[in-house]
Amino acid sequence: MGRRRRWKTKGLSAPIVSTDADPVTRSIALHGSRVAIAAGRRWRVVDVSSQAEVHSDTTHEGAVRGIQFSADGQYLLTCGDDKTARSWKTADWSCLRVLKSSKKACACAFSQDGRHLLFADRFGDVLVAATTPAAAAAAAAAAAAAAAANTNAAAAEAEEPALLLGHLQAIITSLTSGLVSSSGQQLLVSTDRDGKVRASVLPADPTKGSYEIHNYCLGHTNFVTCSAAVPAAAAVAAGSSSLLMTGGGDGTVRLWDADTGRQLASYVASEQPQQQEQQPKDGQEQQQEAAADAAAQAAVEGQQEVQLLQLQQGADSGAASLQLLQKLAFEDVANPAAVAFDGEGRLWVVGGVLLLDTESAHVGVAAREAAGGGFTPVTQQLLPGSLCDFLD
Amino acid sequence: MGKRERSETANEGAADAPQSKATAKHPRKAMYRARAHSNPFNDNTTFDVPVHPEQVDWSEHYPERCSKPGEASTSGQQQHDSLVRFADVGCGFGGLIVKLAPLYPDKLMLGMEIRDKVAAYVCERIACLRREHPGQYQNISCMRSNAMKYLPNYFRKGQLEKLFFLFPDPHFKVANHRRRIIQPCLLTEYAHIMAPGGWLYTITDVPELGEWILSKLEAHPMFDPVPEEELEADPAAGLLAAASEEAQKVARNEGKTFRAVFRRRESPREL
Repeated sequence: MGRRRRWKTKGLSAPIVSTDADPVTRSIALHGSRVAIAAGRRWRVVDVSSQAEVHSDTTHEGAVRGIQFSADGQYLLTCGDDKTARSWKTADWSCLRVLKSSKKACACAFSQDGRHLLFADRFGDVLVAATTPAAAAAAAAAAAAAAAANTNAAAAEAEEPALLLGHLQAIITSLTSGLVSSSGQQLLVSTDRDGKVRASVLPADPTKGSYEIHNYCLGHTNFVTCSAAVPAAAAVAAGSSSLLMTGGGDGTVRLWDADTGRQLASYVASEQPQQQEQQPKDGQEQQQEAAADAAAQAAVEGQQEVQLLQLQQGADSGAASLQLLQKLAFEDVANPAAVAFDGEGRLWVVGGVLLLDTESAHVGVAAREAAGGGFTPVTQQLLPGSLCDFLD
Repeated sequence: MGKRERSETANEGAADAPQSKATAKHPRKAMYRARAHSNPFNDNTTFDVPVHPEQVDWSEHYPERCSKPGEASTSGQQQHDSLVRFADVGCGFGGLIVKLAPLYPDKLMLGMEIRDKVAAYVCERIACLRREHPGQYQNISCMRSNAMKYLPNYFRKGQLEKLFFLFPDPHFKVANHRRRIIQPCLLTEYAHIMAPGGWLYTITDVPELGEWILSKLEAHPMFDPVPEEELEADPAAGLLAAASEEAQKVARNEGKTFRAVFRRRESPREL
């Protein structure tokens, strides 16, 4: 008897409810006074200035794996295990677009101008679509007009989402936009579980695809979990148009010149042998007063403390290095999973218990007393208890 | 190849041990049998992949052309270009690079093969050729690796001048089309490791795959087709249909081949 073949229906399979064995993911994104926290299927937005939770959402039918604000804060992007990415208008939290991928979506980002949303699925494909329905309709109309005018054009229906680029068969772990090459091209950094960090040229119209790799930043000896762009002022102080930081399973946080692909500095956040999973995550901050005083933070899976790193310039040769500034523990935040800096240089962290199917999240905030000083938790002063501890 | 060598070296085999070592038999394919297909998406932890192209010790492959990383190169080495310039992806039993070696003696060529035994065969074959023809075949070598995933680990940006894909696996099922070696995402990577003006050669005997390859290459903004006149003048293009073992098999069975040769542009075409 042969094996019975299961005939799959055409098109995408039904969205998966989060009963899989992946541990709960928590992520955090910040813009202005608003904090977006995702844990499991639920994502919430808390407004610090009005001290209220402005939105709570469980539209995603699977765990939310990525959450990002656009650079101007008008839009929010979420993507998750239900194989969709959704863009939201932050003014009224209406869902603008729902884009489908063929595998679970694991990373997302906006293009620097916010007009396009990018998300990656577990096939290694990075998909792109217009952020708003109006822009999508305009693009479709333009494409149709172009096709009608040019009889040779292949029947290019605006298939959404379009394929931007792909890391072949490597799960993409993060997407970072906003970096610029020395020749002024917008770059998109994608990292994957094969240890590759790739900076690709992001064209003005990304829906046509990205076909030029600017450079690879190769050096991680294990999977890469996260990436973040160093703010422009600090990068220029270091002599580069674009600095990038990445963290990965080899326990290191590395600093790269994304323009040349050269590794500039490396910091060992965790000495544990590589068989164990480590997931440093980091964010970047810019001190408006002192551009050279850039710090980064790394949360390592399995460690209860967030490590704060200082980016330091070498004295004469300009060689940069990453030094440990401080190890910070937050009382109420166990297992810090995601970190971010806000516009005022405060450090935010989200964590919680590691159970499957939980939507709980605990938030911690830390701030510096004085420029160049250490960070101390200020969670209680900033937010009432109901807004930092979200329990099921 | 096998039969000729066997009869030739049977006589040497009868000689005493030191002499037979000097004229060692060429490896026999029968000893290096492997399945034709290998899943490129297997977890490739069984062989070491370099983290960075700077880390590869090319002197293991080209001892007379490359020095070890960190060591100063000898005067003999310095005359030659010490970077690999031609790569044959899926080189099989090595037919193409062996024929190409004397045509471009100054260029280092690398065959990449994912199957362990077949790569070992090619290495043995090259070693025998180097012994039999001193001074020749020093510019070719074979490496066991997965080119679909790790080409950027071996080659720097803009390094390769020629890239060969001879008779790639057709992966007929639609669900497996993403395993094809010529596809838009991978073409972007190939463009990255190729120098502007470099040529990408493909040939296949499967008509549907030939159309697929042609359409993907035409659609990719980093590649332009090479005109027919230039192809006729190019020695490597002429070898595509005849040099490799697979090509010889196709010719024996009187199959038709579909060749597509494209040039890597300086910068992408406007879309």
